[in-house]
Amino acid sequence: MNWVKKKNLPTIEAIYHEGQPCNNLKALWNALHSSYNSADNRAISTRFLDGINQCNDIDWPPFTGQEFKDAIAKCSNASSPGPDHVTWRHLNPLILDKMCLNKVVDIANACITVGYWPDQFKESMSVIIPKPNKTSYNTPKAFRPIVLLNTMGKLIEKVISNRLQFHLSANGFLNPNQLGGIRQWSTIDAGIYLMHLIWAGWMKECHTSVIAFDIAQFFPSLNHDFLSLCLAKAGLNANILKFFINYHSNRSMTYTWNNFTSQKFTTSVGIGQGSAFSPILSAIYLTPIIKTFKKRIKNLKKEIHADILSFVDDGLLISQEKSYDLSSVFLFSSYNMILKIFTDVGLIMEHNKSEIFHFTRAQNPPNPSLDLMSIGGPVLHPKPIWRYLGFFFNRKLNFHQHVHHYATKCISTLNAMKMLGNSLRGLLPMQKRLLYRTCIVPIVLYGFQLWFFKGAPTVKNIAELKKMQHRAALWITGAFRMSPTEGIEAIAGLMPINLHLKKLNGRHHLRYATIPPSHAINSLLDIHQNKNQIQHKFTLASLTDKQKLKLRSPIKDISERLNKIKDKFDPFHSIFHPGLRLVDHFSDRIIFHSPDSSENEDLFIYSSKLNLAFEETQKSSKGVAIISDGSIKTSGSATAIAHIWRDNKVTN
Amino acid sequence: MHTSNITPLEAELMVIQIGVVSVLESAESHKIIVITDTLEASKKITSSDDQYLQKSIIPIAENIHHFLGKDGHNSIHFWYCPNKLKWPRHALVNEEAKSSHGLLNLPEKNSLLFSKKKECDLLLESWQKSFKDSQKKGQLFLDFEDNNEKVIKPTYAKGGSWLPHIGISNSVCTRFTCIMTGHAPIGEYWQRFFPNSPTQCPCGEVDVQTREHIFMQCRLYNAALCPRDICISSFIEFVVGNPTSFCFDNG
Repeated sequence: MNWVKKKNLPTIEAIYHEGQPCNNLKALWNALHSSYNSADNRAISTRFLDGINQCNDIDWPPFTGQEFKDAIAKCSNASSPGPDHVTWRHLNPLILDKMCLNKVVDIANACITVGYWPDQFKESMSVIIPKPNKTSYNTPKAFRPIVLLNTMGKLIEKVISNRLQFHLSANGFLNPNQLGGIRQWSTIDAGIYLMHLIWAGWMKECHTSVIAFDIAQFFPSLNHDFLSLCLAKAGLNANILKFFINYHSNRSMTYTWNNFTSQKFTTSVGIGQGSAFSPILSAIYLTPIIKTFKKRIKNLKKEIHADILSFVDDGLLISQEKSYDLSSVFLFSSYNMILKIFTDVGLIMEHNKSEIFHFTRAQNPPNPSLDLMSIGGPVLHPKPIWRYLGFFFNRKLNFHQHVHHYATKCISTLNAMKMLGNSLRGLLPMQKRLLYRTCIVPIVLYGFQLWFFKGAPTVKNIAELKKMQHRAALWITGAFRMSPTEGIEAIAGLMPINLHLKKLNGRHHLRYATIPPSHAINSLLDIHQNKNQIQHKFTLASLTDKQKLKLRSPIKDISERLNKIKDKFDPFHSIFHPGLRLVDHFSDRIIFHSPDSSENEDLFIYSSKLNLAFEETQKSSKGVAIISDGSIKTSGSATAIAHIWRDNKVTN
Repeated sequence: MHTSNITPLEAELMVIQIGVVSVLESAESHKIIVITDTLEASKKITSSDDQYLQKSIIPIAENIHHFLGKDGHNSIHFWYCPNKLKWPRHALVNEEAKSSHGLLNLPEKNSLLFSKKKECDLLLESWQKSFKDSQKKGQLFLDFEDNNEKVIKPTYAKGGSWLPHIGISNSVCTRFTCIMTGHAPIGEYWQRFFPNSPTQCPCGEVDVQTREHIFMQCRLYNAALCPRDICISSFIEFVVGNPTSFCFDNG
């Protein structure tokens, strides 16, 4: 089988670096190293950090074994090992062993208390992977370096980053307008946020203009000094800061190209993509930038209405005005401002990747370009379709192109899957169904929350998806091509796509009941309005009743849905504090008993054991037994009863 | 203890919470055993990643935390007691829970897990309802009964309603789908969609070869396997036992 082998890099094109082709390996390594370390010695200015508020200190209890167990449970056995060739599969039995686990926990605790990261964990190997869909692969920039680290060190990194994720969201250091790299903040959230702004803007007769910008070589050019200052601002204590300074110093790197490996290079900038820290550290790096931007916008003499949204290295400037001239001015000045801030922190914006787009519902709307010549950029011309975070937006937001793109993609996947089985041989129908549900449905429905809400035009999109599901059902059951759709869908056990969308959408709405209070979506909802947060111009609460009634937006649906929910959530309750959870300390004193199997013999043995345990608690004065049971009535109400047995007496 | 609009899982957790609290309040105890018929609920207490049950978990976890932190020898045991075990003391509780009545007035607000479940049920119901009267499922769609003599309704859990029965092999699945939808290589179908092609059965007894004829009368197939009722399993037996039924001549 050819397709399971390691994929080789394209060999036809020579890599050009500074106008010279790389003819030998040495030149190639130098080209790679210098382009992935181009941010080395870039000057930075940290003076604006003074204006950022210092966050509350984070307390950092010692690590517990359970955290490591949780971390390793999420690791894939198939992921590539680091220079020592130890995979997660090898590490797993060690972590399950109690003695080994204690040693690992001790090492991790020592790392933090001493503020030291062992050299063995710093060794890294950089694998060069081509970025997809490039027209030409003749510069190092068309490739992405993925860092492979030793798994042992990576496990400790994972535990630490898990804690950082929790604490930084809990103490409010991260900015709500910054999505990505943080748990519970997804691309869909960014999409829904934008969708609401646009629809609400239309309500108030404003069109929405956006500029998307991109940061060149984002991860490899993060500056370590600046990062340490950010970490201090985030409220980490001295030990952890010392740990991170040590973590970043004296790092070495080897590059691998197909089967060739380079000598060691020392690196002094950047966070490797592949380290467990890279998402959270990049988020920490961006926070002061966004906070400063917002502050500067506010402090300007002339008022500028512009909003910023950032998804790791994909940024977005939003302006919502009635006239195009005004919004162009606002976008230009905010673009200029963010450019200056990025230059200060050692990041370079890639001007030719910036895009402008105007959303409007008007007939024959103007589509002005934006001239960035005066600040060193090109003239930005709006395209008919704008692609951002994998969504395809058009000006009227009907998402026909988006759905068409994903449906076509999935139909071609289905065609390819026909190799795996047909109506006579190959995979069994149940396996085909599983394949469809796991590999196709999530892809084809990506971003459906953006166009599937009450009052949105969905007919054409759903028809397109139905066609796709019809094909899938034909493949699963092996029926005739003209077979009736609903019949074969039911036989294949697939819900009609419109009902399936409803189900997923409902689940998605409920998810917003559990998001942290500082989440961007919360700043738009009217019910869980966070008092400290700056109110956005187009929140649900800011609309009049009449406008609210007319408004169509996903946020409106979410808000209506959440009003019916009783539960209030607190994702940062101390019970969920990593290191202080119930399982972290008492897992050996909470014991579960259940019979070995449901065979009669086993049940009998188990029953006598249960009797024995019960009698034991009744004999001693210090034991208590609780017998509980719950039942549900057809009306939807549930009843539960508990008997508490103590000294052979029962109380309800 | 009565509550409304929550799921059994949450009710179970709630009652464990009440039990634990009253034990903690009243006396010095060192060992608690909890006997329950859903171990799933108790296991949720120790896992922190279930967002939906958070509300029910927090108070219990706090109490257990307090209890276990008080003394190094304190411990809590959860015993699984399935209804099948018929353990007398648990059976008593079970009986009582079933006989007691819930509140009559339903609150407007629901718990998160309840609304999640409720919505799925509603959607499934609307699918089953629309499927029953639908024209688009095929005019000749055959409804079967399951082993309990109930008409099979569509579902999506665990492979749907039909696939687990007919998914034994690709060939059976294909031919059975053909039978159910009526889109099968038989005379009836040729007559409907290709009027110029021959429609009689190869056995020569009937002019139009129908599904009924193949199942009940045709002498080309094993008569011993003729389905006696409209239960799906007897039809599957027929299809499995006659590998040449409902397929093209060359297949």
